[in-house]
Amino acid sequence: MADTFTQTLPEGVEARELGSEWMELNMGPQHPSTHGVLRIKLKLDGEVVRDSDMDIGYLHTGFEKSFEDKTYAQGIPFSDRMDYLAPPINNVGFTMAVEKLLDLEVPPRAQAIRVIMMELARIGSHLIWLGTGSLDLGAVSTFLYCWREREQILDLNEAYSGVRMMTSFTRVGGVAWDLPPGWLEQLQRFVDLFPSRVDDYEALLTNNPIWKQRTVGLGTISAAEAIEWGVTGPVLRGSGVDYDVRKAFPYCGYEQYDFNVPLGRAGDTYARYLCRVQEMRESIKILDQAIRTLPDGPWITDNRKVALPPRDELPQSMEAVIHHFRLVSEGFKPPAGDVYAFVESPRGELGFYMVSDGSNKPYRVKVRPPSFCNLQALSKMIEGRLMADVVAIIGSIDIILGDVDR
Amino acid sequence: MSDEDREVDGKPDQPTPLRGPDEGVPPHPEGKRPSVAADITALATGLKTTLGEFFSPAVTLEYPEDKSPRSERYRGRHYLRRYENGLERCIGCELCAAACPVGCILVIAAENTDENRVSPGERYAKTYEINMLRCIFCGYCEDACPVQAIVLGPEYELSDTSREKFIYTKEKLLEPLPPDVQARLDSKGPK
Amino acid sequence: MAVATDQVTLQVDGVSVTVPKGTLILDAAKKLGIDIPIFCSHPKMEPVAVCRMCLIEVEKMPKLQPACAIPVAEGMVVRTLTDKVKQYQQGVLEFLLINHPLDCPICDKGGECPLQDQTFQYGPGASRYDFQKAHFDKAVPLSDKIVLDRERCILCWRCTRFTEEISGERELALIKRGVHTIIGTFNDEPAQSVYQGNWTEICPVGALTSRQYRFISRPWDLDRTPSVCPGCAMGCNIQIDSRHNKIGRFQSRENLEVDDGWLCDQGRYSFPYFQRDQEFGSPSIRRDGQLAAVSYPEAVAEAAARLQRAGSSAAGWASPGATNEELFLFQRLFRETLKSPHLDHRQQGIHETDPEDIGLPIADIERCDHVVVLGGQEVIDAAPVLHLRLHKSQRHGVAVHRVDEVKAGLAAVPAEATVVGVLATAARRADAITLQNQLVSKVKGSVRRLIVVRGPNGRGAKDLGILPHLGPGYAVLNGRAGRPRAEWPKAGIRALYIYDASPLQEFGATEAELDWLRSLDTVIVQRFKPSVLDEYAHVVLPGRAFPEKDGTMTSMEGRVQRIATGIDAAHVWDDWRILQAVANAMGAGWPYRTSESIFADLAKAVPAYAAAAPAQGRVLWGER
Repeated sequence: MADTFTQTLPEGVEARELGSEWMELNMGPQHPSTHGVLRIKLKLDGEVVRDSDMDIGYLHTGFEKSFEDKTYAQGIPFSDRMDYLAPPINNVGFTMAVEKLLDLEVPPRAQAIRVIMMELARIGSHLIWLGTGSLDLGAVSTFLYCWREREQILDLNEAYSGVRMMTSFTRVGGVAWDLPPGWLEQLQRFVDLFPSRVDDYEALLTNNPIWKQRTVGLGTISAAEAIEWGVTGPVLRGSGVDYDVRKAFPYCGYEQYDFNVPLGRAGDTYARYLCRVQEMRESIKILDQAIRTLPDGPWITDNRKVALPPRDELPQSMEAVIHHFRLVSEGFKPPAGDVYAFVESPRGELGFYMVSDGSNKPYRVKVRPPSFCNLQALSKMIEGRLMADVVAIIGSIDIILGDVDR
Repeated sequence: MSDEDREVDGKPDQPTPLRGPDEGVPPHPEGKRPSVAADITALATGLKTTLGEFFSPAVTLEYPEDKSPRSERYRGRHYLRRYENGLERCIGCELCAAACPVGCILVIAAENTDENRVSPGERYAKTYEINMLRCIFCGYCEDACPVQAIVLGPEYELSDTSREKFIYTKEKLLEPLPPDVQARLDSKGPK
Repeated sequence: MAVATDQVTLQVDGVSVTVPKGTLILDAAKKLGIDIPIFCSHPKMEPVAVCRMCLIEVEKMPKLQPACAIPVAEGMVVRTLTDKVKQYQQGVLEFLLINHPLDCPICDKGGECPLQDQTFQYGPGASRYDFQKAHFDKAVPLSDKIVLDRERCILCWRCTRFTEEISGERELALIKRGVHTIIGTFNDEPAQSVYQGNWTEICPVGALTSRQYRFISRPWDLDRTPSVCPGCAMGCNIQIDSRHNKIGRFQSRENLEVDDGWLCDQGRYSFPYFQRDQEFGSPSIRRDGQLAAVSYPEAVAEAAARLQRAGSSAAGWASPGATNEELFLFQRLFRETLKSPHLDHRQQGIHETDPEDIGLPIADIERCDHVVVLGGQEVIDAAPVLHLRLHKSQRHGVAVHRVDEVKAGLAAVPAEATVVGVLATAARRADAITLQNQLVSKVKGSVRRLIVVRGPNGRGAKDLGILPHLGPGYAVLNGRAGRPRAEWPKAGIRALYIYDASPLQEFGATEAELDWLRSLDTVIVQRFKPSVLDEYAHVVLPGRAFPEKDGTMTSMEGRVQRIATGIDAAHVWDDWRILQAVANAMGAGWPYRTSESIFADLAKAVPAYAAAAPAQGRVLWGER
């Protein structure tokens, strides 16, 4: 019991005075609850974490460097694989940066499809977080139920993009395909069903005394501290700071949708849990509106210097053949300059800083990964907590090591 | 985020409290705790949910005996297509290899002769290899192909026993497509 | 003359630029970094303005003007970015594309095609043309080197102008009229020119493509290595384009001082000879009459032991295709390690070799007023690109006299000539010197000569003393001279080291000499490709082919140029490494690890080379 324990060790009492020694304990990188390959060196005073040291890089893939060697279009499938639980959001972030370089308009239908895919990804990612996070603390049924609903999201991904996870569905100037027939109905069924599922999860967890004992008051970070640490996403909002990129700097037409940004107050693990659960409900609200307001029209820009020509023109139009050949082999060349494009990923602000030197490949792409920034605050959150709580707190930050290490 | 930005987008948004004022975030642990009765109620609610699931039908499949259907757009194993007269569609233009972000496609072209006609036109692919270990199934090759020679089929179970076997050669890629995929592609139009 | 009259100031897109009078608008814009799209215009040819791609707006002129054909005028105001210009550019491209076949995916030019470039940058995105395209012959073999696709041709006249203005052969012409116009040779005879490869490079579409390079690679798959053509002593700069460690083609790499951007077909299409398409044999030693494969160290040890036994009665022949570094080591191996003076790089029958005076640089041919080509076609055959330079000079008013006899050459040049050049092959070097001396006394101006030596590095071989009677830098040997190649069969030679790196394989033994080879105690053959000499060899040492080496070559005008490794052949020892190993096996103790370190020593031994490197300058022997 965290509460009772901290009471026995009042503020200001040094462990050394009690005659005990600190023990260094290695957690990870193969620890199941680190959700990837994170290694934490814990300095323990008995069961209490006094200090910790994060060791990351086990999943370093060098994607940022790889972007420099790929054309802008070829970078999109790479972006999927950074935050592999929310690939569509990565796709959109990367593509938005390129579009910003090109100063390119994206047709409204493409914007709406992007929003739909991103919100599905957000729900999917939160479901994984909820499932594994609760599994870490022993709640196996939640895990199974979350997986069941995520499966429906993956089915939607597959029906639209042909792949369950690594969708790579955006193209510079829009999206790769229009929605297939019947897809919106499938989505509507999910949207109708899902809120009741969220009720089920909440029935299992929200008032559950065991869940609360493992989460309430744990890993607390105040609003001021969270801002100082550069934390974003539900971790920041769990501390009561109202910052969501979708509201603060709307993109892809998010300003058209009516939704709320759930805020917590206590900044503890439980607050973050509540924020995320509520965010899933808000995402469903956005999806519901998007289905009803989905505009007609093209799903990719008609700018032939950027987007591949329609396939039916290839057998007759020389212009189309040349543009197709050049775009595929060499790609377009945005003007020199640098941009920062950022989106709200399930984990927080995902930013792409992209520098163009006027060639067909980015000169530099720097990703601002939310997981990496949020993870920095972990040391602060677990300090003075029980060893067993570290697991719950890592879970509540919701890191993806692919996102941390890139 | 400053207040200025907020005004720019026109509608000041009120962050909703999560629940009712007392339920949102529980008070600090040192404060009052819910009663034992409330705890039992909460646990019972959860148990009711799981019990309900117990009586609902299973959503799982017994893979590999049962498989869920793949979508029409599924991006799995590649196929090279032929025309109805047996000639290969592929003209060895190497655009798929250029489009491939991971460089897993190798095409070496050669010239068609009257004695050895492999594809219509002047050029054909003498060598066409895909390294399936490298492939990330992004489908860019399919987009790049000007003659729709390469398509990604619905197969996803590509395990094998050696690395060499993952270099799919032209012979392997030219295997006939599954009938449903073939029918779907044929319905797309002449080219 | 006042400077002001020579210079013209104009405005292009609002920026002022001052250029010499007579400059074309296109070049004035280029000076400002403003790109005007072109097809027919070529910097080395006269403007014709047939493609209309470069139309731009000039203030006070009623219609758009072709930038490639209009010279600048004082106060001209040029606009290249107006809507009207853009509209015309799109229109021109749309017309060009109407009948262009949908061939990009199968066209060798795809990816490096100006038509694609301009369409992608300036052209319309979609077609408005729904009708049948005009059809012409496709894949017409224009010669054994070139394929012509008449559908792809956009009639820019670059190739026809090349044959007229650059090579003067007038082989290609426009046939028929209007939309039916095609490019072709007279009566559809196969093209004969030896400069056909250049047509493929100047063609702005895929109409003229190389048969050898047909479907070999896409431009983005090529590894490009700057090098120097191994064809002749001209030293034309090339780019080795290779894919998967195989040479795809040689492309020209413009060096205004040497090749002016052109290559001849002999050089350009010589690369299959260097292609390592099968294994070229391992080091081997003759045992019981058969060559047996051994390792490099074994073969080197055997070679060293045999050479040491022969000592000063060993003779060394190195081909003029080797690099300076290799030749320098070869020379040291004999003169220093073996103490043998019998060294040569020449074939039989070429004897006179004195240091070259300050020769006539290739580019200076244009600045002569009379050029005597002693031997006529024979000089051109030895260095074909020289003809393009001569033709260019002729167009600019240089009198070129192609003569066979010294007397005729002397008669052709009038006494008032001021700058006279004499060109001859190495075989007629003596005649050229005679002619030069006679001309010096006849004309009032200067007379310089340019000798086309044999082999891509014939000049280097001479400079570095692969000669029986002269050491590196033409050092006099003070009675320690050896016997020349032709006399070896009668000179009591016991061991012969043949280092044949040249594509010509020009050791060129006669029937009588073959018997001599058979009678020798030791024949060591160092070569990159199986050679007829292997049959006589006791030790065979496989080295590297030209594109696999790095080092320097000296062209006939004394220009030291670098060649680089374009093809990886790590399993084969570098030639200099073999030579060093042989020498070190005899206790020489050479420490070289790279060809650069050899060049450093070479430059110390031959100071003229120190001045030439690394700036690719010329080696000058004038001080001597």
